[in-house]
Amino acid sequence: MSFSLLSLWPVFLQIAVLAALLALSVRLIRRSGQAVAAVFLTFVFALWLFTDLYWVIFDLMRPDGRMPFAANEIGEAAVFLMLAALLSSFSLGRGRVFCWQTAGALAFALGNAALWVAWSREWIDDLFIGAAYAAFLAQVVRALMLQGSLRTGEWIALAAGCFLLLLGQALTFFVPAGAVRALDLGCYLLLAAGAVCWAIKAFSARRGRPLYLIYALLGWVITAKYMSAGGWYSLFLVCETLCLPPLYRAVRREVGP
Amino acid sequence: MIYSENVLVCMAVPLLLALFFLRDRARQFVLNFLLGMAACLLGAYVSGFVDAASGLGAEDTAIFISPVVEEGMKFLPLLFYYLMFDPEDDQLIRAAVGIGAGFASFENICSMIATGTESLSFLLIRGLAVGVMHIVSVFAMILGLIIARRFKALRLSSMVDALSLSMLFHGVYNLLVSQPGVTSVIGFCMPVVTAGFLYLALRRLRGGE
Repeated sequence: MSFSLLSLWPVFLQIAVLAALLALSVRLIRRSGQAVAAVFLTFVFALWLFTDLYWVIFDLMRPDGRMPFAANEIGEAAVFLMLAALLSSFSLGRGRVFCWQTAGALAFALGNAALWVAWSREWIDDLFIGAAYAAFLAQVVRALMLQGSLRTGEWIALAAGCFLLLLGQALTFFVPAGAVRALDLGCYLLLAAGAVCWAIKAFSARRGRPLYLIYALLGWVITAKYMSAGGWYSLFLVCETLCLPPLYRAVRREVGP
Repeated sequence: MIYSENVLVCMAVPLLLALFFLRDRARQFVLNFLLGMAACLLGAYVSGFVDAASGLGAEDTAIFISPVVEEGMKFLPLLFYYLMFDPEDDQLIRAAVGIGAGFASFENICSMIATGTESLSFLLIRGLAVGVMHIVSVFAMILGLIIARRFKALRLSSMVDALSLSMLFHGVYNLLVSQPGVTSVIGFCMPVVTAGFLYLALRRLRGGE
């Protein structure tokens, strides 16, 4: 139990942060004159909180068991859908719905879902969450594109990074054990470097609408969390938690009085 | 083995007859109560099928799959009512409470037939916890839809969100009560505490009208 509690501290931290942000987002609904985005944000935090609670309770009650398809998987998928709905509730402006960037995002999400299936063999769970994750990533990329948040060189670097990640993780199924460790470490470092780059870009964007860059950072960190294990998983989970207050602040800035 | 269909028929016939003598709100409530009982039976069929098809085992199916199936079954008639008739908030709440109460009553009766009726204290705890839990979960679902509609935020994602919230609530309850001890005490208390919070939320929502 004590080991389980120690290993679960990042989830407890996230639960505490989510509970505080949920209370703040309920207040934001009133303050913002009942803005749709504030309602969506409240839904996101409520759902995320319950999903975490379900996971923690399961882990404490059955520390050695592997969870079958359960309500928290549906909760995770719903969080992605709500995050996408929250983003689309802001006026993104007119533009093509489909372009090579969104095609790339969908391909990346598909590749990720394929890797999850290969790792866990849980087809239904992974494809179900993968579909919602793809919708979320496509919405984030579309928002970044329509807002002109990234330069051409940055788009190319992002595409190259995503390709390398998928390639690196796919190769781990075919190479010897020693090489697997090296490939994993390389991917983790690439994910961490990507998270730092997104964070610098999001937090240095004083003008315009940093919301989209914070969304991109959150999307990257969630991807990193799903792609990692052990201590790296905990690290990216903490990073994900650290993204939540800036997300609230960015939404408040958009809808606030 | 319980012949749940026979139990349903015995319970439904007097209620169906009562429908002819009732009007307006009372008729709506009884009809939804019947729908809730039917949803419970259908949910048991689906859970049984998933148990047989997946090989999870009866206990794990009850803990992990049943919340998803049961909340889905309760959601379907409400979604139909919501989309086809565009009811007022109060009508929707009455429908949700009726479905939840019918579902919980039928489940409690089947459980009593299966486990016996000797221990009044156990039956009281189960009746209070399960009865309140089903009403709370379906009420939370409908409250999510009402809030989304009121703030013009009703989309597919809002519906999935409301449904997921009720599934998670039900799932957490099932997980907590699956083992004896402190966790099951917390689990049995959770629906009553949440019911209190939801009551306050509803009062505030009505006060804001």
